[in-house]
Amino acid sequence: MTEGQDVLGEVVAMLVEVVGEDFLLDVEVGPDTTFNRDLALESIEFVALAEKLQGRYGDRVDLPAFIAGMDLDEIMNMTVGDLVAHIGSRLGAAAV
Amino acid sequence: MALVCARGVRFNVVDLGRPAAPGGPAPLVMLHGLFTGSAASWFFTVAPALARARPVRLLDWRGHGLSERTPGGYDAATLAADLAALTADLPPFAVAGHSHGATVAVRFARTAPGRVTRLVLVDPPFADVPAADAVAAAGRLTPRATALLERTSVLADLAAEPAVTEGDLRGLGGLPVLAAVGTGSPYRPAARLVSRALPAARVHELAGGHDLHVAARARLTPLIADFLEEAHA
Repeated sequence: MTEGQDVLGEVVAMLVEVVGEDFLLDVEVGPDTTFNRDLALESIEFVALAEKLQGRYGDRVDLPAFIAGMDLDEIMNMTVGDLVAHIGSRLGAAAV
Repeated sequence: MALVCARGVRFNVVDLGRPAAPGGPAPLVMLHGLFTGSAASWFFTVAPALARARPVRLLDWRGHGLSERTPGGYDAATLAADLAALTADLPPFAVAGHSHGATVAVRFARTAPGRVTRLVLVDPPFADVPAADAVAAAGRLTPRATALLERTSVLADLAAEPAVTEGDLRGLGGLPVLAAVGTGSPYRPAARLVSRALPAARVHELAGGHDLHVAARARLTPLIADFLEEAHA
């Protein structure tokens, strides 16, 4: 398994913790899944996910800083893959 | 994320940036508006940039975001008491409030003058607008917001809320104040009210409606950052 798949699996597990397993039963979460349109994730649930990422990866993954560099359209259209790629790049940078 | 129990209610509190430290910059506590607001109102707009230079605390009011929904207690005095409990661990801090959060910010600063260092008012509802229009200004309602409207006293609390007056604002004394109102907001007249009451206040009219932190995010962020930086100049 590559690191990207590891991160994807961890992000999905955190999503389940945030919104509940029942809610995600009918949705196959993959890199192209959008938080807003596909998952209908409420914005405050995304904040909860961000805090779980902080708890898991610490300061290496700074989602508020990632968001500060995006415009609102980009935030609205963010996919699980966008988030996984960001985490992967930050973890990779931290490892160098 | 921290779920904190205070005053018998479970609240969601989100801390961004470095923790508050002695001698460091004053923290900023950000207060959202009612109905559609939550900690996310700030998290997805101006808070991340502001958290680069100071600790930022976001909270969900009772009945909002991930905080517990209570049958009542949505008036500014009750929310100001909630705020006092949820910030008891912080040194004196700056407060930024949007909409009803701005009303709470003023009430809190009046009742706890030594606790607040600076005040940022984002489209404050200091103008005579009916509660129904206030709901309309809040925009599309989520299921969470609909439950709040249908199962709590929030509308009655809001209708009974005395509007913030020039006298209330003058009572803030020398507290530095920044206000930003939307040119398309029903609360635009609040700009004149703040200017009359507090001639030293920085008052800006920005293109946008009531959710000014969303529409005018790019202009609002540096205005708030510069205003907070003045404290260290």
